[in-house]
Amino acid sequence: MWPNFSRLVALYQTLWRHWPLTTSRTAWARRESRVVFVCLMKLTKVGRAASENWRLRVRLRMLSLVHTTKTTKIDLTTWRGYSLMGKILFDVNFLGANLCLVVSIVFACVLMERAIPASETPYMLLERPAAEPQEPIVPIPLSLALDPQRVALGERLFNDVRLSHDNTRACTMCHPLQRGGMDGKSHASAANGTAFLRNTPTIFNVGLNAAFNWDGIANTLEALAEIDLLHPSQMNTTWPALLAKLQADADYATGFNTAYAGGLTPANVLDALASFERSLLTPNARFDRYLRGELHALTAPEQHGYRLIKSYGCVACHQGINIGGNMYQKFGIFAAPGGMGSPAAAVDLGRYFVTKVPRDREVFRVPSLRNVAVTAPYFHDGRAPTLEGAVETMARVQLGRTITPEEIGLIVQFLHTLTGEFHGRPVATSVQEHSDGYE
Amino acid sequence: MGMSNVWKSLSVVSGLLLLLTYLLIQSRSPDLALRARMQEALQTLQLHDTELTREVLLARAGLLPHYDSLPRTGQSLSRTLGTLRAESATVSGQAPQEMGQHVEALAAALHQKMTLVEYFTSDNALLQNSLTYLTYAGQTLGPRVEEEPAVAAHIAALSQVLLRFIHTPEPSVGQEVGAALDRLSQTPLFPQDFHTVIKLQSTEIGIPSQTPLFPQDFHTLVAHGRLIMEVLPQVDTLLR
Repeated sequence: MWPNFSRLVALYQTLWRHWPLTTSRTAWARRESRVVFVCLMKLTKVGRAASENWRLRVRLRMLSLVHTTKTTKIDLTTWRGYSLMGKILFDVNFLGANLCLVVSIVFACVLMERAIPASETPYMLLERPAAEPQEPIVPIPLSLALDPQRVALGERLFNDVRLSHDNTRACTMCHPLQRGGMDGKSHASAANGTAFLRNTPTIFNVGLNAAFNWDGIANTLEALAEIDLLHPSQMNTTWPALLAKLQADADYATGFNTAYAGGLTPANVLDALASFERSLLTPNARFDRYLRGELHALTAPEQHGYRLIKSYGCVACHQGINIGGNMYQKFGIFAAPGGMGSPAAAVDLGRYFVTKVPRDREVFRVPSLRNVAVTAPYFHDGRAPTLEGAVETMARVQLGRTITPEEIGLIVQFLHTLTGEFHGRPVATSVQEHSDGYE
Repeated sequence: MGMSNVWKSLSVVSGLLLLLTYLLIQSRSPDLALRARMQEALQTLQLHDTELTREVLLARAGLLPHYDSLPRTGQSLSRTLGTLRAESATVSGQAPQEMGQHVEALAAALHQKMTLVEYFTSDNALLQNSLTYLTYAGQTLGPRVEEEPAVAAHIAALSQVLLRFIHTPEPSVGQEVGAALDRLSQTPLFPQDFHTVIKLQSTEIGIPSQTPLFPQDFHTLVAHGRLIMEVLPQVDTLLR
């Protein structure tokens, strides 16, 4: 009487194993499906046993009752009559109770396969790749899925001097894309011509960072863009003024109305800028190609340089997809970096300016080493004009090591392999100034 | 008489039905879909928090190749919290105020946790680097001290006590590590003109400079040993 579902379930499970219809589903979801199948198989066994039990009981009971009713009159005015009727009803309801139990178990098993959006499923529950790489550095993806309309809007804004209050400064002034994504100065220039405390970081691969600026003042590109727009020493604009200028441009108005449901709003302006900045990837560095399996992409000395930075511990901080940019570290662990005559070194306390926590004094965001060969000068205050000097300083003050010139050369050779491509061409070197007196 | 009893029974039954219907309507949840979304957001928050804890423990064990996943999980937690905040603001009645307080408390706790993760990442990077250096030093210094049994004995004692300290970072063992480092740095092979000051937060660890020539690696070994002595308890405190 009870259908033989167990055979059907087993057959379906066999088919599923050999021809999974939804290979794009995560392993987690497929495991959940298997749990449902196991549940159903157990259920059918229980159901069949219960069904047989029930059938036997009812048959016995009915036979007994038929015999009883034939030989005995069921008198509902007596307690014995009521007892006999109760037993009949109980046995009839036994079937209904079993059916309800079966249905509720099936429902519970099906509910276990609730869908959780893949984007919200924690990484540990997603299927990991078969051979998870153990290298501390990860190659940059060749492209990102970004809205092209928003990226185009952001590119226009990035090059537009109207973002500044006096229509004289654009983002490209400090972040020229044809020159390493930074201005090549030891200290960035403020709107009034004075110099900031710090060196301009490159804009390339900025979307791969976890925090921004040397002190992590912002955790999102949108927040950083707003700080730069409203800062008196940078763009020095206000939202009403900026929006009025952009609204007066029919192309901007049309573009924002097309790309965004809300049109031209501060949030959408920031999103457009951030979308463009996220598109500024420099993939296909020789080292990235080496990580993807092109072992000939690096020469033997460059590979030796990579082994050196691993063995010396540079990758303890310069790691991840952006070879930095995902953590903070104190500058000067085993030795004081020294100001080299710079008065700024005694003033710039790094992340302490943001958090006001004493522990964060002289702590800076670890910079990315991508395109490092073309983004001189180095360090937060641009104190090191050459890569060799930067490597020697880092080995001494951060690692407590004195490394030989030959090893410095090998490491520098490796660092040159981190230069990627932008629009199909290698990132060009930044313009380097030598007039700041810090050499 | 019979008809009046019937009408009386009907009115009682109707009244009971109306009362039951009213109670049923009042007992309904005002927005089942909103409640489901908020529960889902809370569950997602829990899952991401568990993921973050797992990644931190992997990093402590030296099994995490890089730290990209930590801020990424933190951003996921922030996004989920933002969803929760937005949903709680749409609840009807007086509930948004109370729920808002709880959500803000959750946001403060998350901010504090991510700050601790930031500190942990910095300290753990130093710790893992120094532990790696110990392995390197063990391989390279051994042959060099074959002719200096006293130095070899000091290095062996230092290795033993450092291993004990790494396993059990208690203050008493830390003192033994400090004593072993002092003994090593006071051996006749220490450099005369080399004085290194390590600044870690408010602690200043100095290596005396008194005696003649000492290989650079021995000096670096002492420096890394002192760093482990300083940082390892901090890292474990952050984890707890």
